[in-house]
Amino acid sequence: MGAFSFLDRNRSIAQPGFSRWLVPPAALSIHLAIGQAYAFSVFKKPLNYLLQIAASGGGLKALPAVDSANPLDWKFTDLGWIFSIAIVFLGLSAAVFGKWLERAGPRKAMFASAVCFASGFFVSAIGVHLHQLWLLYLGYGVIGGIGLGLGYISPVSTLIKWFPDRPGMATGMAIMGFGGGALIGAPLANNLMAAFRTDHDLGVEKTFLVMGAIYFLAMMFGVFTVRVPQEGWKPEGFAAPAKPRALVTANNVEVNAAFSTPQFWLLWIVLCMNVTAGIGILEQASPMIQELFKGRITASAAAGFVALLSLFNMGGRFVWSSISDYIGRKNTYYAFFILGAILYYLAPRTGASGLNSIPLFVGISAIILTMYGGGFATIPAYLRDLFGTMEVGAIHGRLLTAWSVAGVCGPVLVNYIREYEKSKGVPLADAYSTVLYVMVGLLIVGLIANALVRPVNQKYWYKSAESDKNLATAAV
Amino acid sequence: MGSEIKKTPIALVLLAWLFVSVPWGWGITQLWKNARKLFQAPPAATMPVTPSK
Repeated sequence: MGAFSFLDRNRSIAQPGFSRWLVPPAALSIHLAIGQAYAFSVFKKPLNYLLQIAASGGGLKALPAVDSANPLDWKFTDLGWIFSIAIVFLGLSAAVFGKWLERAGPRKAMFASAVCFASGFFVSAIGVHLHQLWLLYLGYGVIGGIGLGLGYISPVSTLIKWFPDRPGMATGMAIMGFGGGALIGAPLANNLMAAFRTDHDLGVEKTFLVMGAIYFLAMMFGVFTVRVPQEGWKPEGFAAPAKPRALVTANNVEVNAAFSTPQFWLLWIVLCMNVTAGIGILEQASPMIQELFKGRITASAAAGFVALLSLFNMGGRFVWSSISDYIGRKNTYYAFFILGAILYYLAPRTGASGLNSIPLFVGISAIILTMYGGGFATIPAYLRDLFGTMEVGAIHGRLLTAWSVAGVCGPVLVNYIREYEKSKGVPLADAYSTVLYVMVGLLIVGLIANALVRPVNQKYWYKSAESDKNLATAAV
Repeated sequence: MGSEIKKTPIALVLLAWLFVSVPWGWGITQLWKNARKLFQAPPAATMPVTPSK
């Protein structure tokens, strides 16, 4: 393994004088790359037309409207599984490899993430070439999903260690990158497919190959730039507050011990409820605005609305996590749940049958989306406050299973309620109201879970061999 | 031994930030082009709305 020894943790320890401001761009290069996952939907329509375009003899100049009942090739529902598998494997790999990451260091984890993420594209390209959908499930879904999980958690504990004075801001910056990844991924994929498109080929295969290569190189920037601080390093002039906040510990909790604390599961519920509620808006943003303001919002304007929400989702990650450094994590989540519940309740009332205000509806939705993003970005710092920095990356990895659950349950819940209401003859605009009121209920569950969070009992604290020896001596 | 400490040049830090902010900025511009459609006057607003059957 000599050739790869540069990936070892001890080879990535920063020398004195190293600027910690090089670490956020290293983290961002990983998160901006893997955030492409959110833009995977741009491939769905081309993948749906693979066979027809090949058989068209060049006659198919524009892709006709999708008819899901009569698919031209792979069905939309089958293609949807690629993203779902990737998100499930994101959560699983983050949970499984988190402990390894703490031992191996961020550089090795980032490298493994880059290899998996790029390989996911390459295997998918083979899948398109051989016209085997299972290869896309395996490639982008399983292998790429593992890359997502490793990449998502790899810079988190490193950033927290470099920024003990502003942990929320530091992790928020990286996680904002994950939200921003789709902003690059979608136009990049569209431009590449347009460039590679011929009369007989939509260019998906070549786009997969090129994107795999581009993302691998971009992630290598992070691999070579990231450093871990030396043991005991502190920023210049930084002193831990004389009177720390009630929930902020100076001790550490090992990942397996953290897993059995009530605090871990309370935060699991907090994240799961916050994400599920956010998905409630995201999943139905486009049809909802068109239905609430019938005849006043075109499909194109609705697409613009969805794009605007993405910007607020991304911005909220940085803004809320930075605010949490000042007001505390618990208060930040109180804001998400209390303000969120009020806004979810008000949103349907801004429609044509109520206040009839498009700007008000857009404003409310935008604030809700900042809190959805903020929930993701603030959770690592919350974990650090409760469990210390020692294995915070591994603990964060396990907590991300809440995201996997919300990612599957959220859309199912939203679609089920909407369809149920529709089947009872409820007008669509009112069906959306019901969905949003259910989300208010979920936010109240999250609020209660957050209120129950207390400092971790000291029986869970990590005791090093040294401290064990001290305790034994003291006992004698 | 303090004189041996080699500080990271500011230019290198700026370059690293540029590496991530240029593609990111491009992505935001592309997204903003889409988002602007929300604020454009809808042609449907002037057309009579036919009730759905």
